[in-house]
This record gives sequence, structure tokens and C-alpha cells, in this order.
Amino acid sequence: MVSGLINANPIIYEKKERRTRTSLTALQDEYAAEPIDQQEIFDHIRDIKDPEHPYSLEELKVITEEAVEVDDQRNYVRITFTPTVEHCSMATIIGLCLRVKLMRSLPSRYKVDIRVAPGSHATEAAGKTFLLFSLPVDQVVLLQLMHLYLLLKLFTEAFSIDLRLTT
Amino acid sequence: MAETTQLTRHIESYVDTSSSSPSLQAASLNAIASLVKTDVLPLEALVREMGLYLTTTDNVIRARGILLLAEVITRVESKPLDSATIHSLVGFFKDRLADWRAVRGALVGCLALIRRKSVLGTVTSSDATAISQSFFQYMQVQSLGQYDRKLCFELLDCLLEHYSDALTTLGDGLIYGVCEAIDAEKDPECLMLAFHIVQSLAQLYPDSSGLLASFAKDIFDILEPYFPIHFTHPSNGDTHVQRDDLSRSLMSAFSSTPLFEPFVIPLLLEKLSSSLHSAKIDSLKYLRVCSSKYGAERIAKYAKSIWFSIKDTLSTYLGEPNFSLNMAPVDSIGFPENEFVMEALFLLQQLIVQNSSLLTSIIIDDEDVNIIFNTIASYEIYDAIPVQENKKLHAIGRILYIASKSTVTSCNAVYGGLSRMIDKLGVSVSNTDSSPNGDIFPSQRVKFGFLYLCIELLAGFRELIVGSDEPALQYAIEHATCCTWLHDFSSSLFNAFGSVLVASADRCPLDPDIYIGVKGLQTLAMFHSEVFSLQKSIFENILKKFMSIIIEDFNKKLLWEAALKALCHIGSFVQEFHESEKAMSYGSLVVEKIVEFLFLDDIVVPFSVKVEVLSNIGMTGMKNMVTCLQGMKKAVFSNLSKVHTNSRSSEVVVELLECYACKLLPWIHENGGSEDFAVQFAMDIWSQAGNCTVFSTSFEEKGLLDALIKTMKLSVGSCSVESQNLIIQNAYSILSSRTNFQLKELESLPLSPGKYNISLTDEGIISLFASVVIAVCPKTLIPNMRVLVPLFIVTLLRGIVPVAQALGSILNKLVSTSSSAENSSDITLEEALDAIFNTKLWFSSIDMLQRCNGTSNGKEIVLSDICLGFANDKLLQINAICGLSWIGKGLLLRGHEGIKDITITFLECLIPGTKSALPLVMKSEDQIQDPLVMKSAADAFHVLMSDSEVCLNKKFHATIRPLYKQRFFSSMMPILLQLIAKAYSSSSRSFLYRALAHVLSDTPMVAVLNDAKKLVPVLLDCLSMLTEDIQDKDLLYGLLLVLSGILTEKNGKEAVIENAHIIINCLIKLLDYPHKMLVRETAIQCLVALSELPHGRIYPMRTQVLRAISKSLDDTKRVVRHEAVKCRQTWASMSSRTLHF
Repeated sequence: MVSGLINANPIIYEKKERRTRTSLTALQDEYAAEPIDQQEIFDHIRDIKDPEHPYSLEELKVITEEAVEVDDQRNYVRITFTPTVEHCSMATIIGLCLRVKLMRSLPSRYKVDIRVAPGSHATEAAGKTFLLFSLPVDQVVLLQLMHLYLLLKLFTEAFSIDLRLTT
Repeated sequence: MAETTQLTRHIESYVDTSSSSPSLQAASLNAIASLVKTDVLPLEALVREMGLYLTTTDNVIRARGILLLAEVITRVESKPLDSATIHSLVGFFKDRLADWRAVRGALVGCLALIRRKSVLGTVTSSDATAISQSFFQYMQVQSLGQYDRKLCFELLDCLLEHYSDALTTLGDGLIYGVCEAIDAEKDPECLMLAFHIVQSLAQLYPDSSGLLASFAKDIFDILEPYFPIHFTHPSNGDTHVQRDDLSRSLMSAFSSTPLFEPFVIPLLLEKLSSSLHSAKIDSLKYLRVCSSKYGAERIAKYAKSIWFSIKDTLSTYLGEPNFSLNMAPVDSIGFPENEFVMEALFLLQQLIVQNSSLLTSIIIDDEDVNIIFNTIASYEIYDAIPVQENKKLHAIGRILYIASKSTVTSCNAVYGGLSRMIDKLGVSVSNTDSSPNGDIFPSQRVKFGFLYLCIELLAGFRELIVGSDEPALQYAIEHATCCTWLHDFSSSLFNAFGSVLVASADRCPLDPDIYIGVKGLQTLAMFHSEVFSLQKSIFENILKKFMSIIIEDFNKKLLWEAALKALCHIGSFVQEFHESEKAMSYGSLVVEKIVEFLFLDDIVVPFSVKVEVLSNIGMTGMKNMVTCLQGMKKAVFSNLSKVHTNSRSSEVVVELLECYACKLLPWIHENGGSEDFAVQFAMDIWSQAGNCTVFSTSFEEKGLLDALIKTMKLSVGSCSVESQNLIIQNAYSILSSRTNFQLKELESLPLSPGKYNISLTDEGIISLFASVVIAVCPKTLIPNMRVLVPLFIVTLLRGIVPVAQALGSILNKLVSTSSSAENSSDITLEEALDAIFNTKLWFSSIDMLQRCNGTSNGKEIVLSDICLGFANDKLLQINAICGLSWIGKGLLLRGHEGIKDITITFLECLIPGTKSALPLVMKSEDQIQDPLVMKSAADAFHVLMSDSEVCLNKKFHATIRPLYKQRFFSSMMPILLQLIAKAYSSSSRSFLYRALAHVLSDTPMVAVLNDAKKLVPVLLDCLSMLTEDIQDKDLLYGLLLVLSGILTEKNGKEAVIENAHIIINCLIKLLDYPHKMLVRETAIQCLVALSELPHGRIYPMRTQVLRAISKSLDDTKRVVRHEAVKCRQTWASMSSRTLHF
């Protein structure tokens, strides 16, 4: 079992400057649409705190603006995040955090896809469920429950089944 | 006897700490002290009374007793004491120093005695010696508590300050004692004193052969560990000492005597290379102060190593220079602020001032400096220089700048170095003499680095001159070699800088290159001519160069802007320092050219840019401003005369007037210019207005007339009363001569608006006149008011708003009782009101609609009845309502009663059938007014309540009563609420809502909050009513802001609790209001504010809100989505974290 912090001494990167949008046309035109874009999604998730450090995911470069892919037309968002160390067992929690935050912030028409950056994680190929076993028991149970719940919710949403009816 | 017992009681209460409280002890002490002070109780008697307390073997009581005596002596410091008393007290306290259990009392006593002023009897020096001997003999300072240690240091400090002679007799015992006392002290307050003691000690033995010399090392060893001060004590604690204070007092201890020099300077040089921020900064600061205190001779041997450290610091910490003319200071090249760099440069300057010859020789012979001098020759543009070289270049540039600005000698030396460099570069005087214009200066000869250094040197030299106030120094500078050098080279420098501009303009323009060129020329032009007179031709060439850029190179944006900035800087400099000769050149070469530029018909530079240039150049100084204004006036009038033939002309005039009114007028006002021009300009506009043929067409253009009116208002508004009188007299004479109808006719009653044939030109002239009336002060005399008022009423009915505003201003500013009756037309407020409201207007039957019963040829109606529709002409009615609203505003602002009747008129328009309103109309099915009329009546409340930019404000000298809005609000609200409750027709109610919305949204929040409970339901009705029409979106937003104000205030929150559910329903409806983003955003923010209401109230609404807000997550506007996320979060997390609902 792992004891103590997984990555005790992470590298802290500088925060990216918050860009203020100054598109005059959008301000003047009351009816012009501003589609959801990369920066907006990144603004939603940049301040999520790391599970084991008081730093944001942005400061640890777990996520970057470039790692957000968004297609407003096709209602699709994909986040690729990079754990700070290869054997990071927090990857699942980070993934969950991202998912929950985006579920709360995006319109329901969106499908959110979250993945680990290729080559940045030791067990990337083995799938996320494998990761769960490297955690302490209580955490594993909790995580599995959350994960199951989320999967169930996604499932029901995808097939428009009312959860209350099925359970 | 009673006194004695009382005294004993006081003494006992102080001495016996176990039975009395601290406040009681303080009271007893004060009582005893006042007894002694007022001579009721002699000090000897007190001592005698206390006898046993002072000598008892009980440690606690003895300590308290001695402390009591000491405190009493402290308190009677202003009472004269004879020397015998003092001597015996000294003897007592000094002996008690040995009594370590009662030492505090002894210390306080000694301190009180030592601090006594000389006129009131002081301690003799032999006594002082005795005290110090006893002190050094018995006191183990470091074994005492913090407070006692502080007392010890205070005592030592006082002794050193007042009895230094007595202390010297102690010899090395003194130094030993001090060392022992301060060794390993840690408390900040004590340390402050300890450092000061060292400083005083050092002053006691100033000479190097003195006693201190042998102990300098020991004392320094005690001080050394404190550097750099590392102090993490929280600043909010009871101690008031800050790190900076400590650091400063340690610095004065370090620099107190040159004897420390062998130890201090090496330490500082060592710490300079430390990575600790405070160590580095402090080292630089200490070095500066120490070198000034130790003297040039002692520092000389360290000069080289200090120089290397400075160079090192500069090359590490100096940032990229800021190559933009917007931000840079006028004088030298701007760098990002950095503490290290600043301190290092200060230090360098100090060293140079102290020992110019040594330092300059070090600088000139320095390897890096020479490398820079030698290698920069190969680079022609900024970007070609490698990063490392570039860094060095900047650092050396700064050093040369400091060197040239510090002293004349150093300045000479670095200029000598520069000429060496010039020899290497091959830029010789002879080379450039053949091409004085500089245009054929070969561009490959331009060396960026060389010019960069030149600018730093020039800037430094300029500052040297600026700083030289003394004639002697000025003389020295005038005859310095650098001055002659500059003389010889100024033309080639001009050529070099000029050719950078030409070259960089040819290539793709690079920021730094343009900067260097422009900055160089600018610096060259800005030397004070008293000390260094630049040849006139060169100054003029510089101006010409910039002007040619302004006129020809508009498409090279950067260069053009830079040139304009430089011209402005030069202009302000010339004006500020009264350089008369240069000012003349500037006037003829720049200002006049710019004015001519305004008249040039070229397509490259847009006219608005030309106006901008003109105003910028004008703002460099009052003299230039006057020239610019004259030019502008000429342009305005020449274009005015062309308005009917040239369509561009009116745009040109509008632009010029806009610039004049919004920029130049306020500038003149701020800079204390005279109002002559403004007055003359207004007069000239009027004399042009008199010229009918010219103006007839110009008034037909709405934009032009508006611009003229605005300009006229602002010009008149900024003038004095006398000038206003002049203008208005002139205007009146033109008004009465130019208008096609006779003003005299207006005096006959009743008025018949249909009779006068007012042409468009006349309307224009009347509007222009109205604008003068709007802007005048209350004291200004408006001529022939008896005629003007009817004239205004007649034109008002034609829908000319400025006239209505003028009437409002007249009513606002008139005095109510005639105080000056010398003028017949000077009417009082009452008369004016009478004229406005009771003048009968005659309408012939032709004016009326066919429905009129037409029994007579016409009828006579007063103004307020027109508002009610008696004339049966909708347009007339709307115009009348609009006019009446401005009149009402004038009255409302001054708090006049008349506003009541006016608001009643408006309300009558809104509710049908209250008065037999339409006697002339056949009683038809609709007694309701036309919707348009009702709308204008409701909007009249907006005019009444809103702050107007165009009239009746501070700028136009309106009389404004404080809190008039609140008053109007509180008188109107009950009436409106009642009417709304009673209104039976839906249209009438909706317009009443509208009126209420206007009043509400313009009232200060505080007033609304008081009535929040009553208002919220009505406010919600207003909100849902206003969503229907797109045109009401601004009003809707204003009203929503009122609601959000109520929701966020504590007072208001209580009012909304009951109505929470209807508010939420109303806000949810606003979430998809498509016409204004701000409405949606504010509605969501209101929902967030509502989430703070008691849980039980809002929880039932939670599902509904979440469902609605999830739609807002997909809003078209980003801001709305952002707020929606926040709102969703607050409402979702109200009970559980799930989003399930």
C-alpha cells in the first residue's frame, strides 16, 4: 500500500494569464452568439484543486488549454490530462473531478470525454479500473461507488431512462 | 495629620500588590505625585514617610517601595529640585542598582534623574560617572527581563547622550560595559536602542588613534551577526518596530565611524553575492551610506571590487528596456522597475560623486565597457545583436547614463570614451559636414548600439544640466569638454538619428530602431539653451524632420505616432522652460504647419486624425493652444460657408466642434487659460448666424445644428457672468433682427401658434439662442424675458426640445422676488410661471381636427390644457407634454411647489375621465387618451427624474436642491400606487406602471429600500409588463437593477421573504429575455442573491430554479453562461450536492 503523498514535491508552473475577451462586435450586437470554446471550458476546470496539493490543476500542468478539444456543433468535449507522475494513483480522482465539474457547468447536450494523455501514465493501457486497486480499501470502495454511479447516470442519460424508474 | 494618614494609605495601596488592583495602584501613584507636584508634600517628607518601605528586608515590598519613589520622581520631572536633593537621590538609586531584586525601581529612578532638564536642576557629571560606574559594576543586563533590559539601554543611551564627557573618564571600562550589555541581544526594541548606543559610542571617539580603534573589531563582532536583519515578527503585535527601522538603525551603527571600514566593507561585499533578497538589497544600501560616511580615501581601495559587484548586479537584474514612447519617461530610456538595479545605480552615483576621477578611470578602462565600445560597431539593427551582448549593452548604457549625469568630470570622461568609439566607427565630423541635410547619410553607417549609448549619454548630460541650479556649476558645464564635444557632433548626431528613421522606414519598421531614432532627436532637442545651446539650425531640422513624418508617413503607424509624441514632448518642454528662441521656431515650424495641415486636402490622413494632432500639439502650451484655436476657428467658419455646396464640410465642422467642446475647452479651463477665445468664438458663431444666407442651409443639417448647440452651451457655460451677458445681448440682437416674424407681435395676447410662420432657419436660430439660455449662470441677465417666454412657448409646441429645456433653465434659475428691478424685462419667477401657465394660446378652427364642434372661429387654451388634449391635436399634445416635462424638471430641481400641478397634469393624461377632460370632443366611447400621448406622459417622469447631460446640471449652473429625488419619490409613490390599484383599464394601468418604473429606476437606492416591502409586488408587475416591448429594454434593465439592489441589501431581504416565490417566478421568466444580455445576467445574479433567504422559504422553489437555470447554461452569451454555472452551483448545493431533481 502507498503511504504518504504520491508525488510529494511536484513542480509548480506559473498560471496562465486570464485573458479578458474584448470582442467589440459581440458586445455591441445583442443577438450575436458566442459559441462555447476552448478557453471557456478551460476556465471551468483550471481552478480545480489537486487531490493532494493545495495547487490548482493548472499550476501543476495536469491540464492545459491546448488539452481541451471542443466541438460546439457536435456537442462534444474531450479533455486530455497529464498526471504529474507516471504511477499517480490519483489519476482517477482527477478524472472524476473534471467530469463532475464539467457536468455541472455545461449544457446537457454535451458529451464529455476525459482521458489520460498517451504515455503519461504507467497503467494507461490497463484501463482505469485497474488503478483502483492500488488505493487504500476505503478509498477504493468510495471511488468504485462514485464511478459506478456516474457510469449508471451516463448510461441512463444516453438511453433516456429515468433512474428512479429503473431502481 | 489627616493628610499623613491618607498618604500612608496611598503608599500602602501601591506597595501592597496582593490586595489592590493595577488601576487602584495607578490612582494612588497619581495622587502622591500630585501632592508632591503642588508642594503639599515635600519630597524629603515623602522619603521620610516611606522610610521603612525603602529599606525593609522583604524583597517584594522593598522593590515596590523603590519603584514608587522612582515613579514619583518621573512624574515630577517638571518640578525644580535643588542639587542636594538630587545628589542624595542619585546616591540612593545608584546604590540600589546593586540590589538585583529591586533593580527596576533603581533603573527608573536613575533614568528619571538623568533625563531632567537643566533649568530644573540636573545630575552633576560626577554623579553621572558614579551612576555609570555602579551600572557597569552591578548590572548583568542580559540576565534581566525584556522590560528591564530596555530600561538599561535607555539609561545607557541617555548617559551617552547627555553626559558623554563624564563617561569618557571611565576609559575602556565604558566600552567593555557596553559590549557586555548589548552582546546577544534579541528583542527588536532593545536592539534599536543598542544600535543607537553603538552609534553614540562611536561619536565619542571619532579619531582613529582613539580608544575605540583597538575595540572596533570587538564591537563589530557583536554587530555583525545582525546583518542582514532577518525579522519575522508579526507587524500587528504590541511592538512597533519594523524590519526597516531596525535595518536603518543598524545601518547608522555600521556607518557611525570609519574605524569599522576594514570589517564592514568586506562583509557587505561578501553578502552582496548572497542569494538572499534582503542581504543583497541591504548590502547595496549599506555600501552607499557607508561609503559616504567613510570618505573617498578609505573607499578607494574597494572601488574596483564594488564596481564589479555593481556591474554584476546590473547585468543580472536589468530587464529589457521598454521601447515604447507611450510609457517611457521623458528623460531617459525606460526600464522595468527593479529594486536591485535602482540601489546599484544609486550606489554607483554616490561613488562617482565622491571620487569622480577614480571611478571614471575604472569605468573607461573596464574590459566590458571596451568590449561594448568595440563590438557594437558591427550591429546595425537592434534585432541583430545577440541576447548576451544586448544585455551587456543595456547594463553599460545605464552605467554611462549614471556617469554622465553625476558630475562634470565623469561626464567629460565618458564623452571622451565615446569619441574614441566614434573614431573606431568612422563617424567623423568631416564625413558628415559634406552632407548637412543628412538625407544622403549612408544608411549602413548607422549603428544601433552606438546610437543607443549616445541616447543614454545625452539623457544623462541633460539631467546633469537640469540639476545644475548654481551658476558656478553651470559655468563649469559650459566650459567642459563634453559640451564642446556635443557642439561639434550635434549635427552628425542629428544626421545619424535621422538616418535611422529613414533606414528603418525603408525596412520593415522595428520598434527599437524607430524608438532610438525618435528618442535621440527628441533628447537632442530638449537641452536647456542656457547651459548648452544647440545650434538653431539643428533644432529646426529636428522639428522639420518630425513634421515631414507627420505629414508624409501616416501609413507607417509606429513611426508616425512616435514622431507625434516626440513633438508633444518637445513642445511642452519648450513652453515649460520658457525657451523663447526655441519657442519661436516651434511656433513657426510645428504649430503653424499643423494648422496648415488641417486645411490640406489629402486623402491619406483622415480628417479626424488631423484634428487629433492639432489638439495634441495645442495642449503642449497655452501659446500654442491659442494658435491652434485660431486655426481651428478659421477652419470651422470656412467650412461653414461651404456647407451648402460641399457635403463633406458639415462633417468637418461637426468633428472640429466636437474636439473643441470636449477636449480643448476643458483643457483651457484646467490650465487656467483666459476665456477670451471661448467668448470670441461664441460671438463669431452668432455673427455668422446673423448672416442668413450662410446659415439657412447649415441649420437644416440636424447633426451640424446639434454640434453647434453643444459647442455654444459648453462655451457659454464655462464663461464668467460678464462674458455671458455680452454673448446673450449679442445673441438677442441677432435673434430679434434675423427671425422673419416680429418679436413685438408676441406681446399681444392671446398667442396664436398657427399664425407665425417660423421657418427652419428661425427654428435653428431659436434653438441656438435657447442653448445660450440653458448654459448661463443664474446671475446673468437674460434680456426681454417677457417676449422670450411666449416665443419659447410657441416654438415648444412645434416640438423643439432645446427651447423647452431653456424654459426649464429659466424657471430653475430665476429669483422669486425681484431684487433688481432696474430692467423692465427682468421678471420674477412668479411672473414667469404665470406667463407660462396662464398665457392663452389661440387656435383657429383650421388648426383643429374636423371633429371639433367649431362653434367659434377658434379657441383659447392654456398650456397645461393642451397637454390634456383640449386642442385635440395629438402631435401638439405630445409636444406640449414633452415641453412641460422639461419645465417641470427645472422646478423640481429647485424644489418649487409648481411641480405638483405639473405632475398632476401628467397623471391626468394617464388616467381617463378624472376631469371632464375633453369638453370639445363629442363624448365618444373612448375617453382614454391615445396610447402615444399616454406613453409620452409616462416618459415625462423619466425626464423629471434622470440626470440630464444636456441641460439643468452643475456644468450649466443649475440650482439643485439636495435630495430632490428622494422628496419627489416619497411624494409620488403613494399617489402612483393608489392610482394603479384603482385603475380599471389595462392600458391606463400599464402606463402608470411605466411612470412608476421611471421614478423607481432613477431614485437612489437608500430611499427605495425603506419602502421595499410595499414596492416589491408592484415592481414585479412592472417587470413583467416591460418585457412585452423591445424598446423598453433599458428601462427594464434599470428596474431590474433596483430589484437586485433590494435583494442584496439586508433591509431589503426582509421585505422580499414573503414574496420570494413570485420574485423567483418573475426572474425565471426573465432568464430567456432575448433582447438584452445584461437583463439575463442580472436576473441570474438576483437568483443567486435569493438563495441566501431562509431555507424553508426557497427550498420548494429549488427544482424549478434548477430546471430553468440549466437552460441558461446554453445561453448564447458567455457572461450569462458563466453566471448560470455559479447560480446552478449555489442552488444545487443548497441541500445536497447532487444535481438530481
